[in-house]
Amino acid sequence: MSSVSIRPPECLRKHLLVPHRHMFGPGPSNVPPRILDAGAQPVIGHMHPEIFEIMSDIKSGLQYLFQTQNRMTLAVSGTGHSAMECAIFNTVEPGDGVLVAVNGIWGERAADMAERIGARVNTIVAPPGGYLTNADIEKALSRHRPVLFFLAHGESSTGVLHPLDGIGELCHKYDCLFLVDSVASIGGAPLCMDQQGIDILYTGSQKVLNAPPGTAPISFSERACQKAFNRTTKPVSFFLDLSWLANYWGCDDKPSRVYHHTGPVTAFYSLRESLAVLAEEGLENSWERHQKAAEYFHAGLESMGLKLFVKEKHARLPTVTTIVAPHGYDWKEITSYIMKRHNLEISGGLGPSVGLVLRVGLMGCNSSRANVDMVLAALRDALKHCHRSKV
Amino acid sequence: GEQQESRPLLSPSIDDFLSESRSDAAASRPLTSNTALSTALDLVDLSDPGESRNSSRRSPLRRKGSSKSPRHRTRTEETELVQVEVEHLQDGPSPRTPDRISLDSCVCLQDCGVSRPRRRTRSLLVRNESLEDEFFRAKAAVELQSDTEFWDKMQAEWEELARRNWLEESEAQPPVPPTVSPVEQNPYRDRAGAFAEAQQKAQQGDLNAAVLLLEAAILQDPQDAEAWQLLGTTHAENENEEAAIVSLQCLELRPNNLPALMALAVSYTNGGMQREACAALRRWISHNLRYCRSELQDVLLLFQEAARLNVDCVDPDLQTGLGVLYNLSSDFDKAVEAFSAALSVRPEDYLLWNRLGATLANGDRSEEAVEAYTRALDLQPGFIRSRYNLGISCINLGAHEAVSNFLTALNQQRRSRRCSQQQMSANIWAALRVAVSMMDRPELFQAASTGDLDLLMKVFQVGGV
Repeated sequence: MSSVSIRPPECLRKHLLVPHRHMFGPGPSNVPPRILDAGAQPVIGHMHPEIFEIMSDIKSGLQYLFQTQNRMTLAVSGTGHSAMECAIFNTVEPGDGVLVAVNGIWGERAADMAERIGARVNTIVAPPGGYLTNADIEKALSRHRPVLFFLAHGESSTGVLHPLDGIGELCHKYDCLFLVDSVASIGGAPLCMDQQGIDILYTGSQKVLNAPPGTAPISFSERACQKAFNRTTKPVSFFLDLSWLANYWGCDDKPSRVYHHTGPVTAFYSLRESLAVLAEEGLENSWERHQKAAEYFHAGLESMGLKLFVKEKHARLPTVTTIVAPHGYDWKEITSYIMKRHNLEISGGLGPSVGLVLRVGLMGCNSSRANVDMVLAALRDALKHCHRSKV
Repeated sequence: GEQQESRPLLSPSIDDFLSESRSDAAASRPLTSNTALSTALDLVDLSDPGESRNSSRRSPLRRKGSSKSPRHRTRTEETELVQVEVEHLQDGPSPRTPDRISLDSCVCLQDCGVSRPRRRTRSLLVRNESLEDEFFRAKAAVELQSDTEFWDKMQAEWEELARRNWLEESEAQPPVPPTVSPVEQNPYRDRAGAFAEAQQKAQQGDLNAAVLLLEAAILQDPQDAEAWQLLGTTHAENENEEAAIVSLQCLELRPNNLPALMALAVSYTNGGMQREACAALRRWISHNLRYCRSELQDVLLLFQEAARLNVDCVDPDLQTGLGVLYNLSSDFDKAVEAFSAALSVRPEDYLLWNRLGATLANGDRSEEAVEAYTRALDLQPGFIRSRYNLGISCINLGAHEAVSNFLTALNQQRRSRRCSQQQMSANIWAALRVAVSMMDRPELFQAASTGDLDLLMKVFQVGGV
């Protein structure tokens, strides 16, 4: 019998108080009341039939969101990185070749993950603000003969929307799986998994879907499943083992589901509801709304004398806009000023774009003309007040 | 079963004189040993001839201060050797009045096995003798050898050391981690768990064993910073300062090792090496997370100290430095005080007026900033930076004079053609665009975006003539 020597923390006596603020950074985005309320529903068992039904709803919703008929469609417990690892750890074995397109931070991370499990990693790099051509990609595929090619569709660290057409075909020509990260893009920019020949697609719940962070939708094509289920070695991660996840989510042929891990049930509720919201609006409407709001935003920025980081219009990610950090300002002062005076989050650069840009995310319900006006006013105010004078 | 040599030393070794038999292996030991002696007392092995406590100990020459070779050492005070006339002792020590044993006195000896004929009997090493007697014996031993031979050996030693950069003044390269006792002589050299055992021995007070064990641990892993550090402190405890210092050069492996830094400072202090001790202590405090300050804080402190010394007068340059530092730390009110103080001495200095203005502006005191810039521009109308700053403050104040100020600046630049137009103007153009964008006049914004200075000047009635 031991005595409790560590005292109860004083800090827990305080009431939990979280402020309301406009989440116009690259994520997480604001969660509308309907989705928040869903997450407040009572907790039931992670293997109760009602939960399985909710998970089934989620699968259908994801098939709609991804525009896929893949049976192997589910939501990994965790955030975007969990899905990234799930994708890589299941389809790659030590010694396998992996080709990673690096045009921002997400490619860097994918390369890191693949290296950790002993893959032979090669990268093709585009400068921040740029993207790769299909010719570049084909050359690399031909040279390295990887089993997996990673590409970030919505590269939120630089504000680039990577063109996808033709890449799926190229990958299959070279007998390679096509893995796409759409965490920052899906729902806001056009993407059709099956049509575009994507083998593995994943996203996060906390961006365009406006659900709290906690689940990461993912889908595997037949081809990808072939690779994942014909390994010579087990995946390094038990938690992310696709055969287990597939069973929990009812994506396999087994007669019953076996306990793997405790699914984050309330996160399932909010994900399910966010997919319902999206289905109500319709994918194409959502794509158009995001595009229009982004164009309106970009025009407003330029009229203020600010410059957009991504030169080519068609390569601009409609969900996350990168603005060249203006001359004569300390970007940190701008973001702090805006947070303080306008209760609004915008962010600086990330990874390769650190110090170079400001980033504004307008995702899901946040993507609207009214919000654009709010952000522009805040920026205008900051530009007026934050200019550094020269000593 | 012959008496092992006392601490192995560089240059003529006491063992040359004390021990009859010398192994050839020992004789051919290279001049690479580097542990050092601190006092003459170190020379004498206090152990029973049968014991091997001090076996295989090597001490490098660790000379404080000058790096002169022995040949230059004609002045007795420079030498750390005991200076006596050469005498030939036949039996036993002859009592002498002891010299003052200073902390940094050191007899440099080396086991070289050359002067066998001069060896004294091992009867010189007798158990239970007093410290004083030991010292006498040591001195005597040195005296036995002829000067020439002795100095020749010393010279060779110095050259070796110089080559190996052991000497304090040599800061060109980092010191090579010292080798220790010759491998063959260390009975623990293959001992597993040598470090742990060394710690035990040290605790038990068996410092010499601890040293050997640590040297063994180091032989097994020369990168073992902990072993080097413990070796250093153990040497110090064992009253072997030079060896301590040399071992603490392990800081090359882990430069922020606080205990090692402190131990080094202590050793330097014992050696009267003030500069080196201060450097070590400075490093200690700068790496000590509890007390570490940023470089900015350090410099600020220096400037504040200096300013405090000026009781009656104000040094405007010093105050300028302070003002700049306070700008860096965003202490704008203090920066304003500093620049104002400078201006009280040099009220015609337009650069200072601009600095004051910019500081006020960055501290959100835009109206006052405008006043300061106006003073600067009165004194020097061609001061473009100040005009640029003025424009910025006008933006802050929402005043439309912002644009005319930028236009004036750009016009002046264009006319003078002296500075790198592209570079400077970019800032001013950018600021101009911001100012114009706030006026809600798209056609002017267009002109600002395309750089149409003439049109803008016409609209805003700037320049002319």
